[in-house]
Amino acid sequence: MHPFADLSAYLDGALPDERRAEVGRHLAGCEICSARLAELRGTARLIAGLPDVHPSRSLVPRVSVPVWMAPLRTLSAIASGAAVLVFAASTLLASASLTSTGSGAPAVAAPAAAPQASLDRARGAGGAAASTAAPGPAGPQDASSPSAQFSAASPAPAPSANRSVAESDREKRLDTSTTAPPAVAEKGPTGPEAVALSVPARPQLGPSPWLWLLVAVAFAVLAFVLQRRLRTS
Amino acid sequence: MLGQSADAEDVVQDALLAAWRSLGSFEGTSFRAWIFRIATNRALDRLRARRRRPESPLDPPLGDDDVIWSEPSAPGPELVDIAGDREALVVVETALATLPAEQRASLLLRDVEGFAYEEIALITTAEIGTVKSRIHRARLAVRNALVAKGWQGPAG
Repeated sequence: MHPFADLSAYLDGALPDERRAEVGRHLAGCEICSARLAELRGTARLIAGLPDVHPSRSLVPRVSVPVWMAPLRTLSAIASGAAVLVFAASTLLASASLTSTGSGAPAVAAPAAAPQASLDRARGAGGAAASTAAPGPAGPQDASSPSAQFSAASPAPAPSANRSVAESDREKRLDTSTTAPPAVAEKGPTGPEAVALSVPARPQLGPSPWLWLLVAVAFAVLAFVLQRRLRTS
Repeated sequence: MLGQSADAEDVVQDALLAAWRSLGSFEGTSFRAWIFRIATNRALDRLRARRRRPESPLDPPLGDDDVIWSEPSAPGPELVDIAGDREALVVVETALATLPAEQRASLLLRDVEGFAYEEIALITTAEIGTVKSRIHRARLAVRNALVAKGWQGPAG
């Protein structure tokens, strides 16, 4: 009987020794089996000679975005971090200077009725100070406060709490000599509201720290968007 | 193995990712066989999904002695030896593509990758007798396809 079923295994050297010897003996005397073994060997050689398949694309997704995108993302991330650091530093500085000056001159809250307050600042400031006398924690200050502070020199008609803060700050420095009576201001009804709106005054060092936080968030958003774009492409 | 380069690349990517994730569980002796095992399994899974008829077995029932050795059909004199020819490789590829997936996998692991039968058994999680049978049937099918094209065996 021809060992056809074992020819491939014989070719591959996968037969047990005993069976291998048997098939070998048969092959020596069997022309058919020898021819078929040769065919199988030739077939295996052809299969081995199949052209190698090379990946047509890199297995890592190819990035087809502009080259400046990755550096820009990195720079944005760095800028965001730097802005956060500046924010933290300026916040610390501001709170430190607040506590140092706060003991000497307690923060004064001013009523929000700015036009009238510009007329009799001292009285309004004094009254509010008497009513609240709030030394004021380093509360968050609106990002628009710098502009309000810068325009505080002129008695502009904007009746905003920030303005009144800045004005009261000025008053504190300018008008403390003119000792105004701590009378309750004639604008009594606006008093509580003004107190509620007013923000503790404090010395400013450059732009508000919250501006830096805004910058940090902006850069972080930019970096995030770029990163997503880089990843999806 | 898959017949489509896009599928093949997907499978390779899948397999490499899976291998990377389960790198800690590698405890065999042959890293190459381990990688091939993951990739082969993924490829077979992909073929099963492509077929969408999971009830039909990839591997037909095996019986070693009932396989047919087809005889050459009137070989043309110019086709006495097409071994090494480009045409022969096309015939081989076509024949491989028609094989049951697990036969094809075993044969390629043997003839292209050069694994031993024991390693192929590990890679394809099959009995060694099954591996032997698959390789034999697959190689025979390719041989029959070649013979049908007038191939008369290797020249030398």
